[in-house]
Amino acid sequence: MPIVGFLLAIALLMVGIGSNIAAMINPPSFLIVFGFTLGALLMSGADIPLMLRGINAGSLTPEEASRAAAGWKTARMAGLAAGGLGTMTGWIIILKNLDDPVAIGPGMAISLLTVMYGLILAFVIALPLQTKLTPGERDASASRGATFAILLSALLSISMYSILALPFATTG
Amino acid sequence: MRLLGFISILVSLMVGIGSNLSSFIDAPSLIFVIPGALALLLFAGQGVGNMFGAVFSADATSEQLTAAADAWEHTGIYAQAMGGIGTIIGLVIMLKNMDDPAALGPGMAVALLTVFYGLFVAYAVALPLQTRLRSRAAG
Repeated sequence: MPIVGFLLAIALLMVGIGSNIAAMINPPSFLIVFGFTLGALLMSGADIPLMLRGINAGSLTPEEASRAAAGWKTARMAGLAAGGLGTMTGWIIILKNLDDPVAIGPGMAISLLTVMYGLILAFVIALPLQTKLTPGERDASASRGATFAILLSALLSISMYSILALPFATTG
Repeated sequence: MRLLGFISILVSLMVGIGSNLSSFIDAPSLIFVIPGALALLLFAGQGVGNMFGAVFSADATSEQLTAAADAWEHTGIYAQAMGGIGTIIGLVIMLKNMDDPAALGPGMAVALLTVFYGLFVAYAVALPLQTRLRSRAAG
């Protein structure tokens, strides 16, 4: 049953993306988010093989499950943080190249897609697995993370709309 | 009394929306946020049936009420997360179609309305229900 939920979520993402799938794939953003998360996991001493075994939650002892859940929590936080850092990276690239429209593109892609990859990692993969491993445990950081996600995407919307309006502002 | 509260929320939103109601309804965004949040709840192993059952049943046990409250809390979290993901998808669609004004509209609608629906589900539905279920479970 849980795997049905995961596949349904992926299918809905595909419905939203539609024919624009090629625009959603950006290797630098992928490296930023997953490299950052992997680094955070290694630095925090998380047991990555145990986390992967935790995808099948029934096969772990309660003590192993709570260790795997702690690892997924680290991955969730790191994914969001990498999204936020990636946005700022992208914006520095955009602002540095404001006079060259061709160079703005990669900066925009990084600023948008790192957030998207971070959100998918945090809320489509890590948080459901963390909840499944420690059922009935409340984690206040999850709702703070959702607030952060909303604020980050609202900030991105506003900044993207304003950069779209920039040519009109300069021509008077 | 609770129904009155929900109606009051809807009325206050309608004051802001006014005569622009039709631009606040976008099927792709709705499908993205609400079934998306439910799919992630299923993946996380939360009891989706119990979540709705506990709201309407008068004789639910304390454990059922707590589990339902946790599930509603996560509904809000996932709805906001899907709202954030939908915004990015909408912005990418919009920027990709900059030279085609007809294609700009749908991308912009997805970008803005997924966040709107995510916040509505989280703060107008999930948060009040969750608070109510927790107070029922406590006493």
